[in-house]
Amino acid sequence: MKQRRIDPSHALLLFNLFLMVLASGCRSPPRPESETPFESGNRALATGDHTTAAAQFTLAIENAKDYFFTRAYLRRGESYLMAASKEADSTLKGKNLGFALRDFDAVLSQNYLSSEDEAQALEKRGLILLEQGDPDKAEESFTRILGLKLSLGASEYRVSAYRELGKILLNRALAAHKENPSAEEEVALQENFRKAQERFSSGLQINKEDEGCNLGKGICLHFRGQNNEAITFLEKSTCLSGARNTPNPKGHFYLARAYELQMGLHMNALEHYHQAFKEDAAHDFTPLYAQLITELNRNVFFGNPEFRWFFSSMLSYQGSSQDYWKSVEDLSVQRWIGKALNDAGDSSRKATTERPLTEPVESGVFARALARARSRKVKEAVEDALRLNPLQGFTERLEEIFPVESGKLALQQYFYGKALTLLKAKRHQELQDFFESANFHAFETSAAGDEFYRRTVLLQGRNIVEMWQEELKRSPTLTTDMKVERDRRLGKARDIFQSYLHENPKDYETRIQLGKVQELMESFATAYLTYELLAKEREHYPAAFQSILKLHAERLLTGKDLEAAWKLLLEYDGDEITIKDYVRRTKMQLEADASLYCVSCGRKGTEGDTLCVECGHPIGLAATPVPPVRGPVGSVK
Amino acid sequence: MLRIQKPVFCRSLEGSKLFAFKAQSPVPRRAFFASAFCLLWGCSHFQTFELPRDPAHTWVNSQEKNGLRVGAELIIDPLSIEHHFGPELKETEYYPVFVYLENRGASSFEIRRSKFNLLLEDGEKLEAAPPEAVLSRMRRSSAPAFFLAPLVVPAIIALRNIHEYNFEMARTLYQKAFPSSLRLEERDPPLSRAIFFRDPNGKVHKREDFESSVLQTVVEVEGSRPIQDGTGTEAPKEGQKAVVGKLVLFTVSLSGENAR
Repeated sequence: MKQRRIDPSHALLLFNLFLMVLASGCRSPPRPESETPFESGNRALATGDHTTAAAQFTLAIENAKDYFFTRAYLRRGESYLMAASKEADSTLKGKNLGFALRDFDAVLSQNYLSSEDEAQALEKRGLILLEQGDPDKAEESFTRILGLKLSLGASEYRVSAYRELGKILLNRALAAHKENPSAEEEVALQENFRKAQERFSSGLQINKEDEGCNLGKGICLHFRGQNNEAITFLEKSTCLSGARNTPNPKGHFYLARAYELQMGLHMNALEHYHQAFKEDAAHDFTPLYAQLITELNRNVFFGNPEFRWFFSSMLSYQGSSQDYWKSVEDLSVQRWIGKALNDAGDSSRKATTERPLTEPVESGVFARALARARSRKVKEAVEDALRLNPLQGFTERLEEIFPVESGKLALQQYFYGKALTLLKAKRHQELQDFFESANFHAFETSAAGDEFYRRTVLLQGRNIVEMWQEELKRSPTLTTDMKVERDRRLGKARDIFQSYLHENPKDYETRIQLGKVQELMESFATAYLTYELLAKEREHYPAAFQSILKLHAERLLTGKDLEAAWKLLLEYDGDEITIKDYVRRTKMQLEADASLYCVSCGRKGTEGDTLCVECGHPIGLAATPVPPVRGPVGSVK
Repeated sequence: MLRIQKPVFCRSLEGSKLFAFKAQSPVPRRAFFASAFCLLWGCSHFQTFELPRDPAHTWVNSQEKNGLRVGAELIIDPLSIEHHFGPELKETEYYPVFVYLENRGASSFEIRRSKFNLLLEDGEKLEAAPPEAVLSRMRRSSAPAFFLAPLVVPAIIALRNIHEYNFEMARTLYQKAFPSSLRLEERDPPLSRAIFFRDPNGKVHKREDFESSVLQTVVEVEGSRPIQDGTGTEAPKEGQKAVVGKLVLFTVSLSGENAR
């Protein structure tokens, strides 16, 4: 056989070809500099960089000059819309939505537009209008899509239009829905749901796999009492969302409801309630949580294995409905608290803490405290929280009742509520730690000037005072060092009170507390001045008179202050018996003492003397300048 | 207007080899077929299934309110219609629905046929028709008997049979049809009746049109009736609780024949 030899020139050519192929295979993808702005925008949009995408599409539109670059407008509008959907700030969100709407309107104002582009612009326009809370205009936009002649490939716009129209009608039907309507009203209400259902069904005729249409139709059927049929569509919807790994709390919730109404609360329904709760990441889908209340009231009682889950899930609601928390409060009383607290005297905390709470009552009190805290009834919530004080896990429960992490709706109230509870529960050290925590420091910077913040800081002052009083009980004799420490700590409390009173001069209780701090700091004259001002400003204010009485009785005042205090007490014409009694007894004592002095020279005589041995004037009725009364202090108290 | 339909079996007989005549003239063959048709027309018997006796609660799509449970079954399959109501009904524009009622509560209910609607998903409402109207569309004509008149005896037999057939049909229809109004007392046994629905515009609907359709009705729950005593005053008896009557809406999904 003849061997074929390769020509060297051919070999070189082949080698070069091989190198070229190799080089073309190893080439890096085109660098961004070589892309058009439109391509760059598309790339940025695909990677989720919506701001860059919008900027690139703007560049593309500007480069096109007189030519209307429809695709760039559509893509830019889409970029703005997606940026808005991810925006948490409502102002920025509104701005982005406005930009997006402007782009889609610009597209729709063109005369020569392909039906696909028009459908896309109309669809996005409708979605923006829905976000902006204008369902009527959105409806008009989606209805226009149905009038377009679309190719088979663009039928998804039609499905989307049917789905969104169905949603608009469903929302209207749900808004009009009410409990226990008359038969005539029910016919009208059901007709609303039927109209929505019709839209979803039309969408399903085009695409049976559309999750939203299946969900919508299932919900409509459920509200029309067709639960058996609703299950089919809701199961389909949840299956589709499960396959795509997207949350579908509504689907699971209504599926659970349909199962329950069809077959009672059994495993299938429970499973979907659990799943709905799991997928509702924001915990704000009110119907789900309202249903948990119903279940706890009707089906899931204390002791049931499912009770704990239903109970804790009910309390984890983060939505804004105040009616919801009212229902929780009512449920707690009806189902768990009952008359347990009323028997012991609801407002008497001492009585209830003496008698240990049973487990259901304890749960009820906890639920009610939390519901009241969410309803911003801070004082009532504190009352309930205090009932849990002697029980185990109080701190954790208090954290749940008054969650003080940032981002909560009523953060100021929660800080105040927590501080007030700890103070009333006499957990002074815990409260002190709370005031020194990072959470509180963050709160201080964000909430300065807020009324609840000021009240919370005031509690810090009260806590310092109470802590010092407890310390004083343990070691009543103060060394010099202790006095320095006292002045340092109580000085802070005094500053807090004074600062608060600067803003709220009419807070009489705080003025009394300021006086007490001054007393503890042994500044009795200043304390008296505080009480005197208060007594003169607010007539018959018993707390002020009581404090003055104490200072007077214990002879803590000197000179003019003592005289002024006595005068003030003499002028008292309020209803406080103890004050009146003290004044009366002191007067009697003074008269008794006065009967021993000479009316002329003031010389003190002895008992039985009627005439002064020095000047011969009668003895008695000479007013002594200062009443040095001792003795009846304890009884006054 | 009466409409005479050519029965299906006649068409199949015409095509059969059994009757494949080789006669040169078509006249005797036609005469034979006409006579056979007239005889068969007159001699066939009216036979149907009995009324279903299942209680309403056996239907998954039934609905219960105030102790009354209502279930419904749309008969849409032509064979089922024939078995339940005879072959003539499927040729008409009436759609039969079996309604199942069961009173499990303490109240009494008054149910009127005119209050029933068959509501399609697109919002179209089909109205309930009285059995007379349905019957008038189903009755067999006695005209074929007149064709046999020259034969005298077969004609008489055929006429008699047609009358008998129509009578049986009427009896079945009246027995199965929902009366114009019906009263259900406490502890009454479960019952089922057929209601015939018709599009008010006479439109004939396809099977797909009935998807997700419902039966809607408003039922009257009876209130306390005034008690007449000798003095003419009205007062409730001692220990008797006064009940206020009300209207209750039922919206029942229409199950297909295999839905149970």
